[in-house]
Amino acid sequence: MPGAERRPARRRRKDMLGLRGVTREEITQILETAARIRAVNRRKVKKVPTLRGRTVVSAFFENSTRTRMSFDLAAKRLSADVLGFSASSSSTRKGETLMDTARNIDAWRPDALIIRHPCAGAPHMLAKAFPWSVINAGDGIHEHPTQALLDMLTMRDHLGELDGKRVAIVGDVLHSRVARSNIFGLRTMGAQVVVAGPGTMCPRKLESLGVEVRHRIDEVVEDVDVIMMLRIQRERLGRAMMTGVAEYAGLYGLDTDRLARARPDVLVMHPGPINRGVEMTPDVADGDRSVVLEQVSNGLAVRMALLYLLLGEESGDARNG
Amino acid sequence: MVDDNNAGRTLGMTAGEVQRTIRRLAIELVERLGDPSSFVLVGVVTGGASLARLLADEIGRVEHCCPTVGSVDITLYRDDLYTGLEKPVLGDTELPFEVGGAGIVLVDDVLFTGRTVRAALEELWDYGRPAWIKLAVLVDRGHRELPIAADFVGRCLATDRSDRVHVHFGDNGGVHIDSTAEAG
Amino acid sequence: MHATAERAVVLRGVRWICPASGRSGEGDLSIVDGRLASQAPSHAKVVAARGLVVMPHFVELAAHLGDPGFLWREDLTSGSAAGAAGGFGLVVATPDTDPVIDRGALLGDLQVRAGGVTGAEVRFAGALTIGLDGVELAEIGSLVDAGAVALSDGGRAIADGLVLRRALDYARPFGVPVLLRPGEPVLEADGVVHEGAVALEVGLRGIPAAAEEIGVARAVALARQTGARVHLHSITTAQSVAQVREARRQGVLLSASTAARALLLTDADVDRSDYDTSLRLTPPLRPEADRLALVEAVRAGDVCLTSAHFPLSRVEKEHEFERAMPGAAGLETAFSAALTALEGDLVAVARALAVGPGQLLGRQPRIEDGAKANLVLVDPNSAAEATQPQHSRGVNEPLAGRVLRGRVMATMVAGRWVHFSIDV
Repeated sequence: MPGAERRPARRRRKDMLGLRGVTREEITQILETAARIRAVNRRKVKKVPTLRGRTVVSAFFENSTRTRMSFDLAAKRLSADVLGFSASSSSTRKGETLMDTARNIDAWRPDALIIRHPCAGAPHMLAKAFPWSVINAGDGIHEHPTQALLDMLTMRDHLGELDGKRVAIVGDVLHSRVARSNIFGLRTMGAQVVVAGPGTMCPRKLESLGVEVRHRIDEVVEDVDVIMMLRIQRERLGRAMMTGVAEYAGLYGLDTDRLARARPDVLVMHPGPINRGVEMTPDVADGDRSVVLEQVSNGLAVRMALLYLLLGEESGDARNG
Repeated sequence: MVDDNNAGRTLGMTAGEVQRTIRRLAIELVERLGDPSSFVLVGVVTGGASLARLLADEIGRVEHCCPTVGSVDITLYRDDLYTGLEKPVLGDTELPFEVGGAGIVLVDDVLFTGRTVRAALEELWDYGRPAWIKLAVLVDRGHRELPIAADFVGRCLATDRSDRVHVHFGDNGGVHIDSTAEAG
Repeated sequence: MHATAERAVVLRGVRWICPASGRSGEGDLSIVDGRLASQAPSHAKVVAARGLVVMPHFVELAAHLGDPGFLWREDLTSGSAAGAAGGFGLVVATPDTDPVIDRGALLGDLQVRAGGVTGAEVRFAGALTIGLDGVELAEIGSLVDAGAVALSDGGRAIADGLVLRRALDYARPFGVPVLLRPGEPVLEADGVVHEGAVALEVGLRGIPAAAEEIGVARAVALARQTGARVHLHSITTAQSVAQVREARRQGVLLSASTAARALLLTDADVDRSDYDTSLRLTPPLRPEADRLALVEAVRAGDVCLTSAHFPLSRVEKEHEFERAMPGAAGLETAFSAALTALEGDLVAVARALAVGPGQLLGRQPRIEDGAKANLVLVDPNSAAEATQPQHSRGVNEPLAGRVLRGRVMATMVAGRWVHFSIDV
């Protein structure tokens, strides 16, 4: 109706620590905001003044160039000041605890902290103790909410509403924060999730998370709308977790033959970086069903949206011009 | 936000008056700016976007040639610190023309403090350097906080600072002013 | 607070229970010259005790008192006071100190210093292996000579079955119980919570129940093989309980205990508390079904209780969940935790906290004429919110904030009040 005012969703959240417990309404608001805000990334001047004067600190205690750059760029495109902090150059080597490091950061009065840490619950500990917003960029094997959000945005772009859609996640689901956040988020949005992997990585007890469990990729490839492949890094697995790379690719790898049996409009996704030849053959990774590069650009948009929603000024009635 | 229990809702303009004023504004735009293909109308989301569309249609009826219409959503450029509880969803900024060198008529339904217009100007500048920008509004309700004036005004309405002004287009439309019981 | 030595005391109108004999009664209880008596001289101090209950005082089998090496966590004095406040008249300290208590001379020195405490009596368990490393046997003989009342693996399960077997063989003739935490270290690996549905939700690595159950099976088999007196001091699963019951039925010299808090808390509490590190424990909290099995086993008298007291400072707990030091304080809340979980069954609580552990150490706690006055006076009806420890230095009491039933009013060791919160 022309001239009618929109009723936006309420947002009182201080942190984004994980998708578990985040409502459908909130996820929808983040995805819709991200879908709009990505227009900024296509303009000539890829910057808006929304978070001018705000300070965003990014603290990465685990290596990651891409996610870190994505968050840094997101903050910069919203005109915030960004301070980067990586474990290798920090005093954590000298034995400073996380809380001590956080207290030092607090002395600079940041508006938000983006943290990636090898321990589950680390962002939660800081969110409880400090007044600034905490965004979880990955805590141990627990959650990686912005990854799941960008995955869901990508799915939504192609599939529309996620209700009733079927998503397969293949790989080391047990130890994957990407998988866990996706499972929480997708189920909240009404999608069905089926996971597949070796018995060591995809144990039956995962059913308690509300997913179906299978042990061969062939059992999931045919009737799903999305196939999400997880990265396998043999050196980072514990002892006796898998057999050989050849057997893994044989049972769980996505190649053109298997893809041919999937739905013609199936989406192939991967959080990156891809081990070509292990999770996917190069043909599939670079093929026309793969939306991996969209995931990356959606990641920037989702992170901008989240920073905007958590830190932006509360605005009142849109008609006060 | 409409509170049905507050002190008063007065009618600023009837639906008919709104439609006639839009017609008059359209003719004024063409009279002063000339050929409709030489300028574009950019509506400020949301009320201004509807008005821009209606003005373009009206110009089209008279001149048999519509100016290009675009929209600009200023949510990411706001500077105001209202203590409302809800965060607006982002609207669409669509500028289907080359901003650099363009003659732009910025359109909004209500001109109040001027901050929306300031934000719209800043945003347009991030797309390019227009040749000129003029401002057309349906209602000027006063209480300016910035040195901004409209070039094309439909109607001036006297309001209190705390009033809320609602504009609706169409046959059941009109301009309504809601006053709070204890005006500050 | 001073420990007073009264020559004669009368507890007027008190109820008393003696689980060892199965008798109980109500009336006036007299204590004369450190022993229970049928009547008291007229100058005896009268203590109004109507509504209160007398039981044998509790015995703690394995408390971490950080002396030597960790005095910021606890020392003998604060540990003794915390024990007395919790109704314990005897606290056995674990050997996981720095240096480890693996030499008789060290234990002897500690015992001399412990003689000066004014709360609960403090005794020591000696280490089974040097440095608690599970490789070489410690000087078990000299430890026992120096006064060790038990031997212990200090909570670090001995991985090498041969070493464990030899330790049991060597220790058996000395007649003191061997305290073991049943576990399979390789399976425990880097787990921090029970391996189950909660671990999947909170993204923490799990410790499978099988790790403990394999440890229990191994301990049972070796106890049977060697004839040693083995006590498993922190079982947590229903299967472990079943194995212990079966072993005892077969006559193996085996006993077991669990932590009082394990009767109230489950792994779901880790989730609810949002990674509260006072719930970071080894062994971990288990799911509800195991908790219920533990409560049932304690009620039936198959398993006894300890406080599993492991005090830690703020600095040691203010970490990410998996990096926080595991352990919780518990001396001051063990009684109310147990009474709450057992729904007021005082006899079961007394059996679990006093008689079972006492008998393991060769003591016979009784409430009867002529027995030594080693008792605790409790109010079974009080309901109060548990707090962080008042006497222990630890700041890691996971039950703080919960309303618990029952309160220790006074503790007496050999006729001497070592703790009182009423006028005695």
